[in-house]
Amino acid sequence: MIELRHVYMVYDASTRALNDVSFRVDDGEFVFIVGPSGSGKSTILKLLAAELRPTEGSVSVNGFDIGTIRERDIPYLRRTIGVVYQDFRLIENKSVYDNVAFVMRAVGAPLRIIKKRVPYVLDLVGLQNRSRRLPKQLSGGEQQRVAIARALVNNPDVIIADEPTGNLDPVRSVELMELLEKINKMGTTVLVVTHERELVNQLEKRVIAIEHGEVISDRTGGYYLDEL
Amino acid sequence: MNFKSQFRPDIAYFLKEGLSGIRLHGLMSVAAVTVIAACLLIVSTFVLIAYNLDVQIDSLASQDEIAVFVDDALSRDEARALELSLKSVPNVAAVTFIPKEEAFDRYLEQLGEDAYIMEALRDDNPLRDEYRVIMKDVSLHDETVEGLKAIAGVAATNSDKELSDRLGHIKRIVNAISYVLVAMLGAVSVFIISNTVRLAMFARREEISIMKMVGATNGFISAPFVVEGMTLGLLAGLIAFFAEWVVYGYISERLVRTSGIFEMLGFVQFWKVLLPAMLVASAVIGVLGSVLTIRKFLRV
Repeated sequence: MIELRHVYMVYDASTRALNDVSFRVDDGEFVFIVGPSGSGKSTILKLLAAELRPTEGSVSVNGFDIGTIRERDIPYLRRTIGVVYQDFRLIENKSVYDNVAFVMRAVGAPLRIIKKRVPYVLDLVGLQNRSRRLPKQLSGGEQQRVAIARALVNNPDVIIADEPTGNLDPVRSVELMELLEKINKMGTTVLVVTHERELVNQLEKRVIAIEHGEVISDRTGGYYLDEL
Repeated sequence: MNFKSQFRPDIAYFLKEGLSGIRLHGLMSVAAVTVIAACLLIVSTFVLIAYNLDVQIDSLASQDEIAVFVDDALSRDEARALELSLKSVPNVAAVTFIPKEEAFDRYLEQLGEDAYIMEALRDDNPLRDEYRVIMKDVSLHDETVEGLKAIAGVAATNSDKELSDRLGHIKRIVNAISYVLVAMLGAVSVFIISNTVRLAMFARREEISIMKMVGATNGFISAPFVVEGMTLGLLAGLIAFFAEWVVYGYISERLVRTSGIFEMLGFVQFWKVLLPAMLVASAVIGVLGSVLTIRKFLRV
Protein backbone atom coordinates (compact mmCIF):
# COMPACT_ATOMS: atom_id res chain seq x y z
CA MET A 1 0.00 0.00 0.00
CA ILE A 2 1.12 3.55 -0.79
CA GLU A 3 -0.03 6.53 1.20
CA LEU A 4 0.95 10.20 0.99
CA ARG A 5 -0.40 12.48 3.73
CA HIS A 6 -0.10 16.25 3.45
CA VAL A 7 3.24 15.95 1.68
CA TYR A 8 5.27 19.07 0.95
CA MET A 9 8.49 18.95 -0.99
CA VAL A 10 10.62 22.06 -1.16
CA TYR A 11 13.95 21.87 -3.02
CA ASP A 12 14.96 25.43 -2.20
CA ALA A 13 13.24 28.65 -1.25
CA SER A 14 11.99 29.27 -4.79
CA THR A 15 11.20 25.65 -5.85
CA ARG A 16 8.19 24.07 -4.22
CA ALA A 17 7.66 20.73 -5.98
CA LEU A 18 4.77 19.37 -3.93
CA ASN A 19 2.20 21.33 -2.01
CA ASP A 20 0.03 19.40 0.45
CA VAL A 21 -0.33 16.24 -1.63
CA SER A 22 -2.40 13.40 -0.17
CA PHE A 23 -3.59 10.19 -1.78
CA ARG A 24 -3.65 6.52 -1.06
CA VAL A 25 -3.22 3.54 -3.40
CA ASP A 26 -4.46 0.23 -2.02
CA ASP A 27 -2.97 -3.16 -2.77
CA GLY A 28 -4.08 -4.51 -6.16
CA GLU A 29 -5.12 -1.12 -7.60
CA PHE A 30 -4.22 0.16 -11.09
CA VAL A 31 -3.67 3.92 -10.98
CA PHE A 32 -2.59 6.52 -13.50
CA ILE A 33 -0.77 9.64 -12.35
CA VAL A 34 -1.10 12.33 -15.00
CA GLY A 35 0.04 15.90 -15.27
CA PRO A 36 2.13 18.28 -17.39
CA SER A 37 5.93 18.44 -17.21
CA GLY A 38 7.11 20.02 -13.98
CA SER A 39 3.84 19.26 -12.19
CA GLY A 40 5.57 17.18 -9.51
CA LYS A 41 5.05 13.63 -10.88
CA SER A 42 8.77 12.80 -10.88
CA THR A 43 9.11 14.10 -7.33
CA ILE A 44 6.38 11.69 -6.23
CA LEU A 45 8.20 8.76 -7.90
CA LYS A 46 11.48 9.75 -6.25
CA LEU A 47 9.76 9.90 -2.88
CA LEU A 48 8.26 6.43 -3.38
CA ALA A 49 11.73 4.98 -4.12
CA ALA A 50 13.25 6.87 -1.16
CA GLU A 51 15.56 8.83 -3.46
CA LEU A 52 14.16 11.89 -1.65
CA ARG A 53 12.62 12.44 1.75
CA PRO A 54 9.57 14.67 2.18
CA THR A 55 10.12 18.16 3.58
CA GLU A 56 6.87 17.81 5.48
CA GLY A 57 4.11 15.21 5.75
CA SER A 58 4.40 11.44 5.58
CA VAL A 59 4.99 8.98 2.77
CA SER A 60 4.39 5.31 3.45
CA VAL A 61 5.27 2.60 0.92
CA ASN A 62 4.57 -1.07 1.62
CA GLY A 63 5.01 -0.54 5.35
CA PHE A 64 8.16 1.64 5.11
CA ASP A 65 7.99 5.25 6.30
CA ILE A 66 10.09 7.23 3.79
CA GLY A 67 10.59 10.14 6.19
CA THR A 68 12.30 8.00 8.81
CA ILE A 69 13.65 4.98 6.88
CA ARG A 70 17.29 4.16 7.71
CA GLU A 71 19.81 4.23 4.84
CA ARG A 72 20.52 0.54 5.24
CA ASP A 73 16.81 -0.37 4.95
CA ILE A 74 16.31 1.44 1.62
CA PRO A 75 17.38 -1.62 -0.46
CA TYR A 76 14.69 -3.67 1.30
CA LEU A 77 12.05 -1.03 0.50
CA ARG A 78 13.15 -1.05 -3.16
CA ARG A 79 12.75 -4.82 -3.36
CA THR A 80 9.03 -4.26 -2.84
CA ILE A 81 8.88 -1.94 -5.88
CA GLY A 82 9.55 -2.70 -9.55
CA VAL A 83 10.35 0.35 -11.67
CA VAL A 84 9.94 0.66 -15.46
CA TYR A 85 11.48 3.66 -17.22
CA GLN A 86 10.68 5.43 -20.46
CA ASP A 87 14.20 4.76 -21.79
CA PHE A 88 14.14 1.09 -20.64
CA ARG A 89 17.58 1.30 -18.98
CA LEU A 90 18.73 -2.16 -20.02
CA ILE A 91 22.38 -3.22 -19.83
CA GLU A 92 23.54 -3.28 -23.44
CA ASN A 93 26.15 -6.04 -23.18
CA LYS A 94 23.92 -8.48 -21.30
CA SER A 95 21.40 -10.78 -22.99
CA VAL A 96 17.68 -10.48 -22.28
CA TYR A 97 17.95 -13.44 -19.89
CA ASP A 98 20.94 -11.94 -18.07
CA ASN A 99 19.31 -8.50 -17.82
CA VAL A 100 16.46 -10.12 -15.91
CA ALA A 101 18.51 -12.72 -13.99
CA PHE A 102 20.98 -10.07 -12.89
CA VAL A 103 18.44 -8.26 -10.70
CA MET A 104 17.52 -11.53 -8.97
CA ARG A 105 21.19 -12.15 -8.29
CA ALA A 106 21.49 -8.59 -6.97
CA VAL A 107 19.01 -9.37 -4.20
CA GLY A 108 20.67 -12.66 -3.33
CA ALA A 109 18.26 -15.12 -4.96
CA PRO A 110 19.63 -18.68 -5.24
CA LEU A 111 20.64 -19.85 -8.72
CA ARG A 112 18.11 -22.70 -8.88
CA ILE A 113 15.25 -20.23 -8.27
CA ILE A 114 16.66 -17.78 -10.83
CA LYS A 115 16.71 -20.60 -13.42
CA LYS A 116 13.03 -21.29 -12.82
CA ARG A 117 11.76 -17.76 -12.35
CA VAL A 118 13.44 -15.91 -15.27
CA PRO A 119 11.96 -18.13 -18.06
CA TYR A 120 8.57 -17.88 -16.35
CA VAL A 121 8.64 -14.08 -16.31
CA LEU A 122 9.98 -13.87 -19.89
CA ASP A 123 7.11 -16.12 -20.94
CA LEU A 124 4.66 -13.84 -19.11
CA VAL A 125 5.81 -10.80 -21.13
CA GLY A 126 5.93 -12.83 -24.37
CA LEU A 127 9.70 -12.90 -24.82
CA GLN A 128 10.42 -16.57 -24.21
CA ASN A 129 12.02 -16.84 -27.66
CA ARG A 130 14.20 -13.76 -27.27
CA SER A 131 16.10 -14.68 -24.13
CA ARG A 132 19.53 -15.00 -25.82
CA ARG A 133 19.25 -11.72 -27.77
CA LEU A 134 20.98 -8.50 -26.80
CA PRO A 135 18.75 -5.45 -26.15
CA LYS A 136 19.89 -3.73 -29.36
CA GLN A 137 18.59 -6.71 -31.36
CA LEU A 138 15.06 -6.05 -30.07
CA SER A 139 12.37 -3.55 -31.07
CA GLY A 140 11.42 -0.71 -28.69
CA GLY A 141 8.30 -2.58 -27.56
CA GLU A 142 10.29 -5.71 -26.87
CA GLN A 143 12.91 -3.77 -24.92
CA GLN A 144 10.18 -2.27 -22.76
CA ARG A 145 8.84 -5.79 -22.14
CA VAL A 146 12.31 -6.82 -20.93
CA ALA A 147 12.21 -3.83 -18.58
CA ILE A 148 8.81 -4.99 -17.31
CA ALA A 149 10.10 -8.55 -16.88
CA ARG A 150 13.01 -7.14 -14.91
CA ALA A 151 10.70 -5.06 -12.72
CA LEU A 152 8.49 -8.08 -12.15
CA VAL A 153 11.03 -10.81 -11.57
CA ASN A 154 11.62 -10.14 -7.87
CA ASN A 155 7.88 -10.35 -7.29
CA PRO A 156 7.38 -6.78 -6.06
CA ASP A 157 4.20 -5.54 -4.38
CA VAL A 158 4.05 -2.51 -6.68
CA ILE A 159 5.12 -1.84 -10.27
CA ILE A 160 5.82 1.83 -10.98
CA ALA A 161 6.02 2.69 -14.67
CA ASP A 162 7.41 6.12 -15.52
CA GLU A 163 6.15 7.12 -19.01
CA PRO A 164 6.49 3.50 -20.15
CA THR A 165 5.01 4.18 -23.60
CA GLY A 166 6.96 7.37 -24.25
CA ASN A 167 9.20 5.66 -26.83
CA LEU A 168 6.61 3.31 -28.34
CA ASP A 169 4.21 3.55 -31.28
CA PRO A 170 0.43 3.49 -30.54
CA VAL A 171 -0.01 -0.23 -31.24
CA ARG A 172 2.92 -1.23 -28.97
CA SER A 173 1.65 1.21 -26.34
CA VAL A 174 -1.73 -0.52 -26.22
CA GLU A 175 -0.02 -3.94 -26.00
CA LEU A 176 2.13 -2.69 -23.15
CA MET A 177 -0.86 -1.38 -21.23
CA GLU A 178 -2.60 -4.72 -21.73
CA LEU A 179 0.45 -6.41 -20.28
CA LEU A 180 0.42 -4.10 -17.26
CA GLU A 181 -3.28 -4.83 -16.81
CA LYS A 182 -2.57 -8.55 -16.93
CA ILE A 183 0.12 -8.14 -14.25
CA ASN A 184 -2.32 -6.07 -12.17
CA LYS A 185 -4.96 -8.80 -12.43
CA MET A 186 -2.39 -11.23 -11.00
CA GLY A 187 -2.39 -9.12 -7.81
CA THR A 188 0.40 -6.58 -8.29
CA THR A 189 -0.39 -2.92 -7.68
CA VAL A 190 0.39 -0.86 -10.81
CA LEU A 191 1.16 2.86 -10.83
CA VAL A 192 1.63 4.41 -14.27
CA VAL A 193 2.86 7.96 -14.83
CA THR A 194 1.95 9.03 -18.34
CA HIS A 195 1.01 11.76 -20.80
CA GLU A 196 -0.91 9.43 -23.14
CA ARG A 197 -4.45 10.77 -23.08
CA GLU A 198 -5.83 8.07 -25.44
CA LEU A 199 -4.48 5.22 -23.37
CA VAL A 200 -5.71 6.64 -20.09
CA ASN A 201 -9.15 7.23 -21.44
CA GLN A 202 -9.29 3.79 -23.04
CA LEU A 203 -8.51 1.87 -19.86
CA GLU A 204 -10.93 3.75 -17.57
CA LYS A 205 -8.86 3.29 -14.42
CA ARG A 206 -8.38 5.57 -11.44
CA VAL A 207 -6.60 8.76 -12.51
CA ILE A 208 -4.78 11.12 -10.15
CA ALA A 209 -4.10 14.45 -11.86
CA ILE A 210 -1.27 16.64 -10.56
CA GLU A 211 -0.61 20.26 -11.45
CA HIS A 212 1.75 22.79 -9.84
CA GLY A 213 2.53 20.26 -7.14
CA GLU A 214 -1.08 19.73 -6.11
CA VAL A 215 -3.63 16.98 -6.68
CA ILE A 216 -6.31 18.65 -8.76
CA SER A 217 -8.39 15.57 -9.44
CA ASP A 218 -8.58 11.99 -8.17
CA ARG A 219 -11.37 9.97 -9.79
CA THR A 220 -11.74 6.23 -9.98
CA GLY A 221 -12.80 5.28 -13.46
CA GLY A 222 -12.15 8.88 -14.37
CA TYR A 223 -10.77 10.36 -17.52
CA TYR A 224 -7.72 12.40 -18.42
CA LEU A 225 -8.69 16.00 -17.71
CA ASP A 226 -9.04 18.10 -20.88
CA GLU A 227 -7.30 21.07 -19.34
CA LEU A 228 -4.02 19.18 -18.72
CA MET B 1 8.77 -16.35 -3.74
CA ASN B 2 10.27 -13.46 -1.87
CA PHE B 3 13.88 -12.40 -1.29
CA LYS B 4 13.20 -9.29 0.72
CA SER B 5 15.25 -10.26 3.72
CA GLN B 6 17.78 -12.62 2.20
CA PHE B 7 21.39 -11.93 1.47
CA ARG B 8 23.63 -14.73 0.27
CA PRO B 9 27.22 -13.76 -0.32
CA ASP B 10 27.67 -15.18 -3.80
CA ILE B 11 31.47 -15.61 -3.74
CA ALA B 12 31.67 -17.14 -7.22
CA TYR B 13 29.73 -14.19 -8.66
CA PHE B 14 31.90 -11.61 -6.84
CA LEU B 15 35.09 -13.29 -8.09
CA LYS B 16 33.81 -13.58 -11.67
CA GLU B 17 32.70 -9.95 -11.77
CA GLY B 18 35.83 -8.66 -10.01
CA LEU B 19 38.21 -10.51 -12.30
CA SER B 20 36.27 -9.49 -15.39
CA GLY B 21 36.80 -5.87 -14.30
CA ILE B 22 40.57 -6.44 -14.33
CA ARG B 23 40.39 -7.99 -17.81
CA LEU B 24 38.18 -5.20 -19.09
CA HIS B 25 40.75 -2.53 -18.17
CA GLY B 26 43.80 -4.65 -18.97
CA LEU B 27 46.25 -1.86 -19.66
CA MET B 28 45.23 0.19 -16.63
CA SER B 29 45.41 -2.93 -14.47
CA VAL B 30 48.93 -3.77 -15.70
CA ALA B 31 50.06 -0.18 -15.07
CA ALA B 32 48.56 -0.19 -11.58
CA VAL B 33 50.13 -3.55 -10.67
CA THR B 34 53.54 -2.43 -11.96
CA VAL B 35 53.61 0.84 -10.04
CA ILE B 36 52.37 -0.75 -6.82
CA ALA B 37 54.88 -3.61 -7.17
CA ALA B 38 57.65 -1.01 -7.58
CA CYS B 39 56.46 0.82 -4.45
CA LEU B 40 56.33 -2.41 -2.46
CA LEU B 41 59.79 -3.37 -3.70
CA ILE B 42 61.33 -0.07 -2.58
CA VAL B 43 59.67 -0.24 0.82
CA SER B 44 60.53 -3.88 1.44
CA THR B 45 64.16 -3.31 0.44
CA PHE B 46 64.52 -0.57 3.05
CA VAL B 47 62.72 -2.60 5.67
CA LEU B 48 65.03 -5.57 5.00
CA ILE B 49 68.14 -3.39 5.24
CA ALA B 50 66.89 -1.99 8.55
CA TYR B 51 66.20 -5.54 9.75
CA ASN B 52 69.69 -6.66 8.79
CA LEU B 53 71.22 -3.72 10.61
CA ASP B 54 69.19 -4.69 13.66
CA VAL B 55 70.48 -8.26 13.60
CA GLN B 56 74.03 -7.04 13.05
CA ILE B 57 73.80 -4.53 15.88
CA ASP B 58 72.41 -7.11 18.29
CA SER B 59 75.12 -9.58 17.41
CA LEU B 60 77.92 -6.99 17.78
CA ALA B 61 76.51 -5.64 21.00
CA SER B 62 76.56 -9.10 22.55
CA GLN B 63 80.32 -9.54 21.95
CA ASP B 64 82.14 -9.51 25.29
CA GLU B 65 85.64 -8.80 23.93
CA ILE B 66 87.51 -5.47 23.94
CA ALA B 67 90.78 -4.89 22.11
CA VAL B 68 93.22 -2.76 24.17
CA PHE B 69 96.14 -1.27 22.19
CA VAL B 70 99.40 -0.59 24.00
CA ASP B 71 101.23 2.69 23.54
CA ASP B 72 104.13 2.37 21.02
CA ALA B 73 106.50 4.08 23.43
CA LEU B 74 106.35 1.15 25.85
CA SER B 75 108.92 -1.64 25.66
CA ARG B 76 107.77 -5.24 25.35
CA ASP B 77 108.36 -5.83 29.08
CA GLU B 78 106.48 -2.68 30.03
CA ALA B 79 103.68 -3.77 27.76
CA ARG B 80 103.61 -7.21 29.42
CA ALA B 81 103.52 -5.54 32.82
CA LEU B 82 100.22 -3.85 31.95
CA GLU B 83 98.41 -7.20 32.35
CA LEU B 84 98.06 -6.83 36.13
CA SER B 85 96.65 -3.30 35.86
CA LEU B 86 94.15 -4.45 33.21
CA LYS B 87 93.02 -7.38 35.37
CA SER B 88 92.41 -5.02 38.27
CA VAL B 89 89.77 -3.06 36.33
CA PRO B 90 86.29 -4.03 37.57
CA ASN B 91 84.24 -6.34 35.28
CA VAL B 92 87.33 -7.76 33.57
CA ALA B 93 87.16 -11.57 33.49
CA ALA B 94 90.24 -12.50 31.46
CA VAL B 95 93.13 -10.85 29.65
CA THR B 96 95.24 -12.27 26.79
CA PHE B 97 98.38 -10.61 25.42
CA ILE B 98 98.90 -10.58 21.65
CA PRO B 99 102.31 -9.34 20.56
CA LYS B 100 102.25 -7.14 17.45
CA GLU B 101 104.09 -9.83 15.41
CA GLU B 102 101.27 -12.28 16.09
CA ALA B 103 98.68 -9.56 15.37
CA PHE B 104 100.40 -8.96 12.02
CA ASP B 105 100.25 -12.69 11.15
CA ARG B 106 96.55 -12.76 12.02
CA TYR B 107 95.98 -9.72 9.85
CA LEU B 108 97.74 -11.34 6.88
CA GLU B 109 95.62 -14.45 7.43
CA GLN B 110 92.48 -12.31 7.20
CA LEU B 111 93.66 -10.75 3.94
CA GLY B 112 94.03 -14.20 2.38
CA GLU B 113 95.17 -13.97 -1.26
CA ASP B 114 95.87 -10.26 -0.95
CA ALA B 115 98.32 -10.81 1.94
CA TYR B 116 101.36 -10.40 -0.29
CA ILE B 117 100.63 -6.67 -0.55
CA MET B 118 101.27 -6.21 3.16
CA GLU B 119 104.11 -8.74 3.37
CA ALA B 120 106.63 -6.00 2.59
CA LEU B 121 105.69 -4.23 5.81
CA ARG B 122 106.63 -7.19 8.04
CA ASP B 123 109.92 -5.59 9.11
CA ASP B 124 108.25 -2.26 9.66
CA ASN B 125 105.15 -3.62 11.44
CA PRO B 126 102.65 -0.74 11.82
CA LEU B 127 100.54 -2.66 14.37
CA ARG B 128 100.73 -2.35 18.14
CA ASP B 129 100.97 -4.89 20.92
CA GLU B 130 97.49 -5.53 22.14
CA TYR B 131 95.44 -7.23 24.82
CA ARG B 132 92.15 -9.04 24.32
CA VAL B 133 90.01 -8.28 27.36
CA ILE B 134 86.93 -10.42 28.10
CA MET B 135 84.18 -8.75 30.15
CA LYS B 136 82.10 -10.48 32.81
CA ASP B 137 78.98 -8.43 32.05
CA VAL B 138 78.50 -6.94 28.54
CA SER B 139 76.03 -4.36 29.85
CA LEU B 140 78.90 -2.70 31.79
CA HIS B 141 80.84 -2.16 28.53
CA ASP B 142 81.12 1.61 28.72
CA GLU B 143 82.32 1.67 32.36
CA THR B 144 84.86 -1.06 31.60
CA VAL B 145 86.26 0.84 28.59
CA GLU B 146 86.56 3.95 30.79
CA GLY B 147 88.53 1.97 33.37
CA LEU B 148 90.84 0.47 30.75
CA LYS B 149 91.53 3.82 29.05
CA ALA B 150 92.45 5.35 32.42
CA ILE B 151 95.49 3.05 32.73
CA ALA B 152 98.76 4.70 31.72
CA GLY B 153 100.25 2.98 28.65
CA VAL B 154 96.86 2.18 27.05
CA ALA B 155 96.73 4.04 23.71
CA ALA B 156 93.28 3.06 22.51
CA THR B 157 90.51 0.54 22.77
CA ASN B 158 88.27 -0.98 20.18
CA SER B 159 85.27 -3.22 20.52
CA ASP B 160 82.36 -4.48 18.50
CA LYS B 161 80.10 -2.61 20.88
CA GLU B 162 81.55 0.69 19.65
CA LEU B 163 80.93 -0.41 16.07
CA SER B 164 77.42 -1.46 17.12
CA ASP B 165 76.77 2.06 18.47
CA ARG B 166 77.87 3.59 15.17
CA LEU B 167 75.64 1.18 13.24
CA GLY B 168 72.79 2.11 15.58
CA HIS B 169 73.01 5.66 14.28
CA ILE B 170 72.84 4.48 10.65
CA LYS B 171 69.93 2.23 11.56
CA ARG B 172 67.97 5.14 12.98
CA ILE B 173 68.40 7.00 9.68
CA VAL B 174 67.39 3.94 7.63
CA ASN B 175 64.38 3.44 9.93
CA ALA B 176 63.29 7.05 9.47
CA ILE B 177 63.58 6.70 5.68
CA SER B 178 61.60 3.44 5.87
CA TYR B 179 58.76 5.08 7.80
CA VAL B 180 58.56 7.97 5.33
CA LEU B 181 58.63 5.54 2.39
CA VAL B 182 55.95 3.30 3.90
CA ALA B 183 53.67 6.31 4.39
CA MET B 184 54.43 7.95 1.04
CA LEU B 185 54.48 4.91 -1.26
CA GLY B 186 51.60 3.33 0.68
CA ALA B 187 49.51 6.42 -0.05
CA VAL B 188 50.60 6.34 -3.73
CA SER B 189 49.58 2.68 -4.00
CA VAL B 190 46.20 3.26 -2.36
CA PHE B 191 45.62 6.21 -4.71
CA ILE B 192 46.44 4.10 -7.78
CA ILE B 193 44.12 1.26 -6.75
CA SER B 194 41.43 3.79 -5.95
CA ASN B 195 41.72 5.33 -9.42
CA THR B 196 41.67 1.97 -11.19
CA VAL B 197 38.55 0.92 -9.29
CA ARG B 198 36.99 4.32 -10.02
CA LEU B 199 37.38 3.64 -13.75
CA ALA B 200 35.83 0.20 -13.35
CA MET B 201 32.90 1.64 -11.42
CA PHE B 202 32.43 4.43 -13.93
CA ALA B 203 32.29 1.91 -16.79
CA ARG B 204 29.55 0.05 -14.93
CA ARG B 205 27.64 3.02 -13.55
CA GLU B 206 24.45 2.02 -15.40
CA GLU B 207 24.59 -1.46 -13.90
CA ILE B 208 25.24 0.02 -10.46
CA SER B 209 22.28 2.39 -10.71
CA ILE B 210 20.02 -0.49 -11.79
CA MET B 211 21.29 -2.62 -8.91
CA LYS B 212 20.52 0.20 -6.48
CA MET B 213 17.09 0.63 -8.02
CA VAL B 214 16.16 -3.04 -7.60
CA GLY B 215 17.33 -3.11 -3.99
CA ALA B 216 20.84 -4.55 -4.08
CA THR B 217 22.63 -3.70 -0.85
CA ASN B 218 25.75 -1.54 -0.98
CA GLY B 219 27.70 -4.58 0.22
CA PHE B 220 26.56 -6.60 -2.78
CA ILE B 221 27.34 -3.78 -5.22
CA SER B 222 30.75 -3.15 -3.68
CA ALA B 223 32.00 -6.72 -3.35
CA PRO B 224 33.19 -7.23 -6.97
CA PHE B 225 35.13 -3.95 -6.83
CA VAL B 226 36.75 -4.92 -3.54
CA VAL B 227 37.72 -8.23 -5.17
CA GLU B 228 39.18 -6.28 -8.10
CA GLY B 229 41.22 -3.96 -5.86
CA MET B 230 42.41 -6.80 -3.67
CA THR B 231 43.43 -8.95 -6.64
CA LEU B 232 45.43 -6.09 -8.17
CA GLY B 233 47.11 -5.55 -4.79
CA LEU B 234 47.91 -9.25 -4.34
CA LEU B 235 49.35 -9.52 -7.86
CA ALA B 236 51.58 -6.53 -7.14
CA GLY B 237 52.62 -8.09 -3.81
CA LEU B 238 53.56 -11.37 -5.49
CA ILE B 239 55.58 -9.66 -8.22
CA ALA B 240 57.31 -7.43 -5.65
CA PHE B 241 58.25 -10.51 -3.60
CA PHE B 242 60.03 -12.23 -6.49
CA ALA B 243 61.65 -8.97 -7.58
CA GLU B 244 62.86 -8.51 -3.98
CA TRP B 245 64.44 -11.95 -4.12
CA VAL B 246 66.63 -10.81 -7.01
CA VAL B 247 67.28 -7.26 -5.72
CA TYR B 248 68.12 -8.44 -2.20
CA GLY B 249 70.60 -10.98 -3.53
CA TYR B 250 72.31 -8.28 -5.58
CA ILE B 251 72.40 -5.73 -2.74
CA SER B 252 73.69 -8.16 -0.13
CA GLU B 253 76.44 -9.36 -2.43
CA ARG B 254 77.52 -5.78 -3.20
CA LEU B 255 77.32 -4.63 0.41
CA VAL B 256 79.29 -7.56 1.81
CA ARG B 257 81.92 -7.13 -0.90
CA THR B 258 82.36 -3.37 -0.44
CA SER B 259 82.04 -3.09 3.35
CA GLY B 260 84.04 -6.19 4.18
CA ILE B 261 82.45 -6.42 7.62
CA PHE B 262 78.74 -6.12 7.04
CA GLU B 263 77.11 -9.56 6.99
CA MET B 264 73.60 -9.88 5.53
CA LEU B 265 71.13 -12.66 6.22
CA GLY B 266 70.35 -15.00 3.33
CA PHE B 267 66.96 -14.50 1.62
CA VAL B 268 65.97 -18.08 2.49
CA GLN B 269 66.21 -17.19 6.19
CA PHE B 270 63.18 -14.91 6.12
CA TRP B 271 61.16 -15.47 2.94
CA LYS B 272 58.55 -17.43 4.86
CA VAL B 273 57.81 -14.30 6.90
CA LEU B 274 58.37 -11.82 4.07
CA LEU B 275 55.96 -13.46 1.60
CA PRO B 276 52.86 -13.43 3.86
CA ALA B 277 53.78 -9.95 5.13
CA MET B 278 53.98 -8.57 1.59
CA LEU B 279 50.75 -10.30 0.55
CA VAL B 280 48.88 -9.00 3.59
CA ALA B 281 50.22 -5.46 3.03
CA SER B 282 49.29 -5.54 -0.66
CA ALA B 283 45.83 -6.96 0.04
CA VAL B 284 45.23 -4.21 2.61
CA ILE B 285 46.34 -1.59 0.05
CA GLY B 286 43.96 -3.12 -2.51
CA VAL B 287 40.98 -3.23 -0.17
CA LEU B 288 41.64 0.25 1.22
CA GLY B 289 41.97 1.77 -2.26
CA SER B 290 38.75 0.21 -3.50
CA VAL B 291 36.74 0.97 -0.36
CA LEU B 292 37.73 4.65 -0.54
CA THR B 293 36.40 4.92 -4.10
CA ILE B 294 33.31 2.82 -3.48
CA ARG B 295 32.31 4.96 -0.50
CA LYS B 296 32.52 8.06 -2.64
CA PHE B 297 30.79 6.48 -5.63
CA LEU B 298 27.89 4.98 -3.71
CA ARG B 299 27.77 7.88 -1.27
CA VAL B 300 27.47 5.38 1.56
